[in-house]
Amino acid sequence: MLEVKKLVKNYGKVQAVDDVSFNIFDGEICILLGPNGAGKTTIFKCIAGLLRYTGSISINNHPNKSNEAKRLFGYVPETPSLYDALTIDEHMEFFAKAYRLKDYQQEKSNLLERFDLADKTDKLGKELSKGMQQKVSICCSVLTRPSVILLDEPVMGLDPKAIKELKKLILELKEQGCAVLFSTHIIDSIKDIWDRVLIMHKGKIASDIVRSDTTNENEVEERFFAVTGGTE
Amino acid sequence: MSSLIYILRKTLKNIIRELFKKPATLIVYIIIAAFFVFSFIVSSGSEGIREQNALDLNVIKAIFCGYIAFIFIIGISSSLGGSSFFRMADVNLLFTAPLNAGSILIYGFVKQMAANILIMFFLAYQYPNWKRMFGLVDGAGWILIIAYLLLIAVSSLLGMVLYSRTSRKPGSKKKIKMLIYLGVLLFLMPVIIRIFNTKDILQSAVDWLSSDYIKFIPFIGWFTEVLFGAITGITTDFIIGISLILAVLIISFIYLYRMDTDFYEDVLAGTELKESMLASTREGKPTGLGLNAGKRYRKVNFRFTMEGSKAIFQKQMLEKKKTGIWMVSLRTLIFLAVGIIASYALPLENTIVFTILLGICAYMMMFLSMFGSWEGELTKHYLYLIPAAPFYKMTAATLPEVLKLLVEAVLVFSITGVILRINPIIILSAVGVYTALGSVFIYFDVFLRRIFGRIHGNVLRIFLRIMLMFVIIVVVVTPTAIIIGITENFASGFFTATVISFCLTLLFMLLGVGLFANPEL
Repeated sequence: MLEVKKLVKNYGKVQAVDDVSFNIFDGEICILLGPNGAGKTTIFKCIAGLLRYTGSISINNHPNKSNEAKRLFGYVPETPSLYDALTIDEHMEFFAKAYRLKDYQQEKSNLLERFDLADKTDKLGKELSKGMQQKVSICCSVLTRPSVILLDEPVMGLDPKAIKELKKLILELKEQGCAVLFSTHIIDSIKDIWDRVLIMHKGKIASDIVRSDTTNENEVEERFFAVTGGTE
Repeated sequence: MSSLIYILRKTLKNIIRELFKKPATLIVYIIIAAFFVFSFIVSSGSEGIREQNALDLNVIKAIFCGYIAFIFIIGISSSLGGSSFFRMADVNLLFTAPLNAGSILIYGFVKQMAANILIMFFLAYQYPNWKRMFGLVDGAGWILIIAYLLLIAVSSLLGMVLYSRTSRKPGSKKKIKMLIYLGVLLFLMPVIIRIFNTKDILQSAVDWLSSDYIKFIPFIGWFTEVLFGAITGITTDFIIGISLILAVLIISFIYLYRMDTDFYEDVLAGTELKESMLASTREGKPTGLGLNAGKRYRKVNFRFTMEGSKAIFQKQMLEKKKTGIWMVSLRTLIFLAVGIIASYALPLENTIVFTILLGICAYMMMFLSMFGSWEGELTKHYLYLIPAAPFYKMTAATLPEVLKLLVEAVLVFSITGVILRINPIIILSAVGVYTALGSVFIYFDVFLRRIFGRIHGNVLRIFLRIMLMFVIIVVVVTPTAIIIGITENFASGFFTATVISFCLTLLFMLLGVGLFANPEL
């Protein structure tokens, strides 16, 4: 379970995240939806422990910057960033060793197969397209068998087959009890997988929608435009 | 043109504004400026007096001429690529805008000049030394500054003129390069001829570079006369030289502004290369002479066996293995070559030669060990996500650099030590000093990164390292010299230096470890 309480992040005088609190329960897929600059990536970076902030963030009751928490979450950043000199396979091996994983070979092969990377494992990080880098980034984070997974704009640069596979993978993670936090500004990309949507606007959560409480399938879109001030 | 001036103006304004947001960096820049002013004030006190131990005038002229020839030829050659003036933002935003191509080139030129002005400030620290060494006259500082700026301006502008002419015709760039090489060969020919007569390389070079014929060589000769004005004062040759230079500068400027050339495609490729080099620099990869561009990685058989933070160490070792030369860098080979030459050439007692070599290598390391591979780790989030204590992460990320120093020290000092028949204990202790001093620089950088964040400019880094060098002279070198003086035992002196350096390393490790806990990516 991911718990975020009274999260505030300032960049100089700019308040990027303004007193945000939310929980994501095990087996729940939560979408962080918002226009560009709403503060989504900042929240992800705070949860991943990459930024200083005020407030508290815990993962399965461990502070997010503790080693216990780090073992429990996986993070796919908005912009994939791989090591130039390491092959796809070496990236996966590096992750496995850094996280002290046991019996991961089968899982590694499955992931590479699913994302069409199995025949490219000898390719170097610098030889990969942005989409392929994103696939490797996803595979590495899922390989660690996370209890909480943070996917920041994960569909950017992916081909349609990979997007479909990613959604399938997210649903499987949900089945296994993983809490999923997924950010996007493309409403259509999350239509069939969400349990809960948090709409962000100007650093705040402007709306919290639970799927079981909705009656209208266009409710997310309508609420999004209503709170962000856009027009359909 | 007004939009380009707007960018320059706003960029400058924002840089200054950003400085005010980072008080620590601002303070350092103020200290740099204060040192700059201080250097000028101190050296102006003894103006007009040629010290007895100042160098011979012919030697000075030869040094000036050689320096100018080097800077000018390098400047022209690199300008031919057209890549050094622009960033990707310029390509994307300016090249697509309805702006005059000549104006854009001039904008690039102004940016280039601004970057060089910073280097000029750094060189100004050397002014008091130069004054003593060369015996400079009143107002020589201004002559040096003007000459340097003109040299950069002319070499950049001429390079741009050549570039704009050659970018249109395929193959013409090659011809111009061949002409430059031919020019260099012709320029050096008299030296080669003299060597056959005198059998003395140094004397032959001084004879030619200080001869009266030099002033007739365009640019190099003119600049030599202008620069020599810092010693002789304003002479007819100085006035002729500076007039010719200004004339070329103005003509080049007018030519560039009026032309409407299609240089964008070449610049695009060059700028992409520059961006990748800058990115590599940020990640701590070597980029000297563009060697990193299009770098190939070897296929190696490798298995990760270490777990946790140690996997970071193993990953870096894998990366080093793939680059082909593992822990040995170009720097190591240069140090080794210098060491071997010094071992045979210096007519001094062997242990003294060995100690001088150790001192020179340690001093040069200060400038040549910028941007370690650990800095690349900091640009990626993986390091922070790995569940391990920050101290272990820091050790794992920096250890390959320390090992690289150790390998370098073993290679350089064991080979030169054997040539010089140095006691193995002294060799061993020299290896210790070199590695420990190198570690001080590495962890000092970690500490600086924690305090100032990412330092983009080399000037600031070098300045801070020079400050560290003063500390090292006081804390490490002085006690070492005293111990060697008292005991006449080099090994015990070097051992002391190793221990003190190790303590400094530990101090900087403790001060910098927070960097690996709070990334702010």
